[in-house]
Amino acid sequence: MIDLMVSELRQRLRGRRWWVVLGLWALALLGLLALTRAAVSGVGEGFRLGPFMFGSLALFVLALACLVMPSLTSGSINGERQRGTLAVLQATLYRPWEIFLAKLGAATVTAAAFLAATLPLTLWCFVEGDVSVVSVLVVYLVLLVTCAVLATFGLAASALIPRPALSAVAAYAAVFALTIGSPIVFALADE
Amino acid sequence: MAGRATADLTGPAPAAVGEPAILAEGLSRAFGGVRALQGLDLTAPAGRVVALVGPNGAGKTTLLLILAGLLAPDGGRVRVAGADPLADPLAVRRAVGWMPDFFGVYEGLTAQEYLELFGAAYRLPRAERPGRARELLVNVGLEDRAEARIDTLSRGQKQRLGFARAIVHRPSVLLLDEPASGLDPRARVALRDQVRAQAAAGACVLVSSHILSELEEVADAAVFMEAGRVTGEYAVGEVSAAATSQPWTLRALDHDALARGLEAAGVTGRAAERGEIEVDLGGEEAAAELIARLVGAGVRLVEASPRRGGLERAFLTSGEAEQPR
Repeated sequence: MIDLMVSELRQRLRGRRWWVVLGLWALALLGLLALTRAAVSGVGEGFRLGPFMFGSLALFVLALACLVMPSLTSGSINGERQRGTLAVLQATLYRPWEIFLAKLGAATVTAAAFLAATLPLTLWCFVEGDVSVVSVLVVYLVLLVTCAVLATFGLAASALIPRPALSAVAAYAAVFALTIGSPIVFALADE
Repeated sequence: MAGRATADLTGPAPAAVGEPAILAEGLSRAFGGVRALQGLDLTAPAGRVVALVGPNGAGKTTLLLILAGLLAPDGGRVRVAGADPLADPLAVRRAVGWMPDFFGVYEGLTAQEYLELFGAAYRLPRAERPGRARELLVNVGLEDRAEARIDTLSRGQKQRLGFARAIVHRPSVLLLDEPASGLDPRARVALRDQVRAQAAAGACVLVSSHILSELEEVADAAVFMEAGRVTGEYAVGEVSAAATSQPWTLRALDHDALARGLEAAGVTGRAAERGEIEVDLGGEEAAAELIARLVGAGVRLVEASPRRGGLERAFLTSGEAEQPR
């Protein structure tokens, strides 16, 4: 299973697409954080700049992860089916859950790499002051778990729906139903 | 994973005594309203190459999928290397090497990495995988492309890599669906030798192809399929060994001298392509006698051979195979 995960990651690292997405991700977050920093630069005494910036960064990462993780995973099973690589794998001694876990593991390691790319930005927040190391660790752990959960949405869609274009739509629909839809339902139910 | 018996790694595991390597009885399978298999019976012994011959849509690929343990039949009994794919799928997969008619390869890996991955997928010990991969790449003539990424390989090279992948765990049952498609003539000959080598090592090989002349050179027996059933069987080489009449092709430097020689020998010949003469002879004994007589009579004979294509003739005359569907 580990071998399958490693080979999946190896293929991903060799593709150009991965590096482009990673670069855009880092640039987008840098831009958002710089804008946030500029927006609050004039705020007076007593404003804790560091925690505000780090909180904003975590929110941006979460939002972008909702876009990136489904696209990384929603074609990984039906795509293999279309390319004819899945059946020969299913004919081996790998059990279906091993193939699934290998793909989930590869997606989670990829997510960890995306999160690692945000570390310089976190360092910036840290330098601005008042950010505790513990909160940084907890936030990163929660982000990683969230990314893994988002990956399962993409993988489920790609296992259930044969066509990659449709499975991507389904994965995004599920993610947005939960992130935007569930608060709306909650608010309506509260009336 | 841990705690489970691993595959026999020294060579194809012998099938249980008295049990054919492949056994199918009354196999049926439908896809929606299409009945791909309707009561198919098939047996194939270890150490033999059996050709699966039939028109498109005869159910060959469906049969191979069931034998590979990837598809459950609707009815009937299957045993592959003595195991039931439904009850013990892992035993079947461990025994079976399967090369589908259409398959993809991981383009981003190197050929070496690809084979090592499948070594892992068949639970070969980690230390054994690199050597096994190299050995297979040498076998299929890809040793100089071992470190090349698969997306730089040609279609034929990928096909050879796919064959290497199918035998990475030394299967005792080898299922090949159109293995020669996309191969150049030299690679076809090499593939034929490798298939024969697998059978010689004790594996049961079931191979489907549309190129009947090629199957005839590699197979010990052929099974004809039509509309999900077996419509006939044919032992390759049976016809030439039997004393029944078989066409032979003769060619001499001087066509007219050959014709006169045949007349003198009391054999009637038919004019065939390229100045050859075809005669019906009752086996190799009669052929040897005729050749000796012709040469003795001064005919400068350059070619005398049994006409190829026995499998093709047998196929075309079996069942309804010649009727367009």
